[in-house]
Amino acid sequence: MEFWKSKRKMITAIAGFLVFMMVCTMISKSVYAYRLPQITVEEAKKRTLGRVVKLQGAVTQGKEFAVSTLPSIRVDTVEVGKGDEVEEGSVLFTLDMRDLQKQIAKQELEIKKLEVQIATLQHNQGLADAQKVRDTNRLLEDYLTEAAEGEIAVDRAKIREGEANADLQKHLEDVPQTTDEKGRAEAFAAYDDWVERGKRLKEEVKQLTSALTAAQREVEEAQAAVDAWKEKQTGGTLFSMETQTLPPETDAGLPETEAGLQTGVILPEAQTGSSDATPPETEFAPPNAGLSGTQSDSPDTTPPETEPAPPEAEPSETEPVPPDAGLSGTQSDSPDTTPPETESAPPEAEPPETQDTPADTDPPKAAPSGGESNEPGQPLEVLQKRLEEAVARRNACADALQEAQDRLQEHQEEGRVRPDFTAEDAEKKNWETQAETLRRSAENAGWAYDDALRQKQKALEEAQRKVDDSVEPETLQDTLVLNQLELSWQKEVMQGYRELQEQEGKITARQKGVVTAVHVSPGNGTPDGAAVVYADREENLEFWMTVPKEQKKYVSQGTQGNLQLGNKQLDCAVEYLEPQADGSYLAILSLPQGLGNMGESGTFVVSWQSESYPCCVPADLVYEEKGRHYIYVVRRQQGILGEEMVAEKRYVKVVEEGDSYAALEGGALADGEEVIASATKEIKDQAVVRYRIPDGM
Amino acid sequence: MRKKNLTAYVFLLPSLCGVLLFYLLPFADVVRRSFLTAVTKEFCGFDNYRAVFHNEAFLLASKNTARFCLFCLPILLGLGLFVAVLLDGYCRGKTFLSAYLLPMAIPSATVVLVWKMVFARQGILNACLGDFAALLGKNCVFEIDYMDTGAAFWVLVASYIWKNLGYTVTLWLAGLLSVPAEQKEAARVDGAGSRQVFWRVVFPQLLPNLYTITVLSFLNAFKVFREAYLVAGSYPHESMYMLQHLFNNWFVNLSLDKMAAAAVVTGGVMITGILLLQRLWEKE
Amino acid sequence: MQAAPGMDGEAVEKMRRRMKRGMAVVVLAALAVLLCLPVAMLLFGSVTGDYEMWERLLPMTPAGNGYVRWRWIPEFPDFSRYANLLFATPQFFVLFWNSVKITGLILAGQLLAAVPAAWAFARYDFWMKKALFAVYVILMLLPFQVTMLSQYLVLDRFGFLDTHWAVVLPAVFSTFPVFLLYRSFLTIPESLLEAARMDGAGEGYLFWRIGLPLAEGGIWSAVVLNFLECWNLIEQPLAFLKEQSLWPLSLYLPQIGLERAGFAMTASVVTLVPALLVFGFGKEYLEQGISAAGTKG
Repeated sequence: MEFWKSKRKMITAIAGFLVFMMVCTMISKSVYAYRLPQITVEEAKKRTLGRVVKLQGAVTQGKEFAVSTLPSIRVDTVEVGKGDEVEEGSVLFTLDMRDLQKQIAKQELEIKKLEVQIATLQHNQGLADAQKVRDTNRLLEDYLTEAAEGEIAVDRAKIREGEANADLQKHLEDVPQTTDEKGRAEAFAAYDDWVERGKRLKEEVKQLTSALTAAQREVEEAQAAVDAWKEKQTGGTLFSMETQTLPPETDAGLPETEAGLQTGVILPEAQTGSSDATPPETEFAPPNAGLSGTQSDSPDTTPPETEPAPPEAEPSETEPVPPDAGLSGTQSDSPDTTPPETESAPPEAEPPETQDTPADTDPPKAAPSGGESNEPGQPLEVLQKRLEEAVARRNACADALQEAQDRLQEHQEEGRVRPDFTAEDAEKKNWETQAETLRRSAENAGWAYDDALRQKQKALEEAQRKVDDSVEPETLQDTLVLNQLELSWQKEVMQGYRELQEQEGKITARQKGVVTAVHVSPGNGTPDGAAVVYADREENLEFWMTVPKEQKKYVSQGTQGNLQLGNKQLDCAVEYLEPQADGSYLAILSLPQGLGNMGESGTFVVSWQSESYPCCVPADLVYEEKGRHYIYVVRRQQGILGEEMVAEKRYVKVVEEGDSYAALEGGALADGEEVIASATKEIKDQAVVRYRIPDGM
Repeated sequence: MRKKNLTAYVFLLPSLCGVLLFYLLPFADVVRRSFLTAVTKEFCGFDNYRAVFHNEAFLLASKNTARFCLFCLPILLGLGLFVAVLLDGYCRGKTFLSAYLLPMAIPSATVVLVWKMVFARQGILNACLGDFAALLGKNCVFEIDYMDTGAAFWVLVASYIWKNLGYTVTLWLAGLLSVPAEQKEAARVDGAGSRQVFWRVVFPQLLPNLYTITVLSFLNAFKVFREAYLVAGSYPHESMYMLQHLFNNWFVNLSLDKMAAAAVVTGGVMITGILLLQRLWEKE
Repeated sequence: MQAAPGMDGEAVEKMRRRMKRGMAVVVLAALAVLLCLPVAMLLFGSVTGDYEMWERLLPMTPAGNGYVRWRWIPEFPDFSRYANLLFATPQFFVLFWNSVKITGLILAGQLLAAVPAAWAFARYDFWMKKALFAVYVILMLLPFQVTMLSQYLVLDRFGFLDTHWAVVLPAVFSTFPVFLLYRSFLTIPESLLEAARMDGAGEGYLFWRIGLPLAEGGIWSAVVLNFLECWNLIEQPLAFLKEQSLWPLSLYLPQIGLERAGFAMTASVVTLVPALLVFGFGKEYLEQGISAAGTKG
């Protein structure tokens, strides 16, 4: 390896250098470590802080006595000064006797003046009283009068009210009769019916009249026929030709309008059957055929038919009156049919079928009658029979007519008037109006009564007030009392002066003590308040101490502590705390009897315990700089050499300070963080540190 | 020949592997990145290149770097040659050379301290200049703040020359020494003045060295960044702002797309340059 | 220049030469002094007491006025700083050994990787040699920042980040030593190798026994250069090492502010020493290597 050998020098050098560096490395490590400040640490703990506060103070007097006397009396001599001890009865100061005399004289004058004043006042008072009594009496009388008058008014009003009410009541009871609606309607209906009936009757009459005329004609025709026959017998056939105009159908009802109409009339009758009248079936069974049969029957039926004619009851009967058809039927030519028809004429029976059927019934009726009559070549007997029948019919007609007319007459004689309810109504209205009026007056009467009552009340009250007023106390009396009081007081003062006089103006102490203040001086007047103040030496002593502002929070009223006076100790509590002008406080506690001498100084020791704080460190670990507090905390960080510990200056806020511990604001230290308690070297912020190596290792 | 080839590869292998892994692969990645956006990694074609060419900072840095190289190299080479000639001609002692080479051994970090003191506004240089001027009778005050003005450029130049002069001188000297003395003698005998001797005889023979020296000096020129960074930080004065500053800042700001594109561009430029140089001087 | 009477041309010539030489010497000396000035400043500054240093540098602060005036010999030399640094600052040594470790590993690695590679480039022809070499050269010239991010990711993938390997590995495979050594390997005459080959030597033998010894100078110069380079690494450790306790010394120095200028200087001087040592010993090799690198164009 020549290669390497030739480089020996270089290699040696480099190797040497490296070795040197190695050595240096190790040296530096140890030196560095050695140089590091070694620290001990403490952790923050949760604890309470304690503090011992010592307050200095002194014993002062508690109870003080004041000696005073009547003011403004010149003082002659003052025997004592501040701090002097006095015994019971020792003279404190003496008053000037001459001055005292003057005061007494003045006082007497005062008293006299007052006495005179009082007498005058009393006299005046008597007069006033008498007057007052009189006034009061008068007012009472007024009151009574008012009461009585009021009563009367009220009663009257009440009566009026009663009357009005009664009238009203009576009136209300007296209700005029009026027909009610139903009645009225009935009345109207009745009237209408009557009117209708009248009309019907008139019509009937008319019809009958025409029927009669027709019957008469028939008679004449029959007669004529007879005559003609007779003539024919004698030769002439004029009439037969005329009579052949009739249609061939004889049995069946010939559609002659008149006949139909007649039969129409009949039908309704039958159907009415309203009254007992007819065996309807027999008559109307074959309306078309064989009406003659019916006709034959019809005379039987007619009378009963006529009866039911004027049935007043049913209004509906008015309708069938348009058996005008029937009536007109009767007016028609066929005389045969007339009697039954006339009878059937006033069948005011209802059936509207009358309208329908006329056509049906007509022919049959007409047929036989018409047919028969005009047949030529009929036997005389027939004609005569016909004539007889016609006459009979005519007669019947006339009778009926007469009857009808009678009825009409009767009816008209009834002379009914349309029911007029207006009078009724008017009367009712009147009644109502009257009722209203009565009601109003009753109401008024009621109000009047109320008014009267109120009026009375008011009047009474006023009168009462006046009476009360007059009984009020008089100020006049106050003045009197005052004066009397003053008099008695002045007399007392006088008494005081006299006593002083007796004492020869000497003011003494009541009991033993020490003079603490003297407020009198020779030649000046005695003060208003205390002239001399002295305190009890032995009783009611107090201990006064000053509490500096910073320590105020440890001491408050009631704080217990230990008082040391001389070689005596006492556990007591602060009784009173008062702020002073300079920010400090004055604390006072009273001493039990026998303990302490005035002026003696002592110490009051208060041990104060705070609440528990979570983060407390020993107080001497907290430093202060420019008003801020700080601590050094150990922080671990990674450095070039690995993990190292660094002292970190951390500003904290001290929440509470005790004697040996300080509480830091929560959060100042995290869990487990250590505070540097001591160090071998001065620590600077961010300086690297290490733990202290325990001695002996 | 095949054997030769294989053995060659064997010799080459360790280096090649490492180069591949730690240089070529990263560079390939850089090329890839130059076509992607920075954050979303989407293909964006030549956007980054366009951005780079429009980027003021890039242009400034390129300009500065180019300016520096084009300026310094000739100075260094020239000065180096001059000193080498002097040494060769008059003073063969090794001491001077050692002295010249010393600066190269000084760590950049160390020398930066000195530069700070010298080139500060109230620095030593100004003081000396002032003194010098006073000597000459002029009473002007030199308060040039080298770091914050265009003079910063000269700081770089000075630092560069200071550091690399020895190296360059040594290189030139080696070249000079390789010129056989007889040739020079012969020339002189022929009546050529020393100047002529130099330019006609010696210099042509030095040309082959030029390639190496240029490349090496070029390489060292880039290394100036270190001093610049240590003295003036990431964002120095404009005139000092070089490509490396730019890359550094882009890296810090994660503008990786621009960085990649610029890297490719720079690489490209250098490749071309090298190839050119190679063509010019390599006569292999 | 006028010849003094009585002097012949040669004497004049000699004088001229002497004068020229004198001038040259002066110029060269001046240059040398100028170049060494900062180092001297450092040296003297490192023993200047803190207070004095502060005083001197006061004009540089906004508070001061006037100029920084340098006093060479301090009024109150303070060697205690050295003592402090060397004997009481373990942190410094942590960093120091970091630097040593990093540098040592890099250098070793480089020797293992770059030397053979340079040999391959120099002596063999192979496929893509030119291109590969060009690539190597380019890689050498590329500033670190270009590949910084991608290297970061690769290192992260392997988990090397925040360890020394992050700095060591990329540097080991730096192509700069390849370049340097290539030059010096080129100087070896091929004939020598051929001869050896014909003698039956294997390639390995050629490399080991012939190439290496002959290129020793070059190798040493590469080592020296790279040592200086590694000892001054700043960018890579800054980017890849987060843990302060892994930092090399070169990274620490810039951290010291100007207010501790004295300490900075002291630390710098101590940092300087190994570099100087290496430089001192490797000087000749350095020169040799550089020349070798420089000659063959």
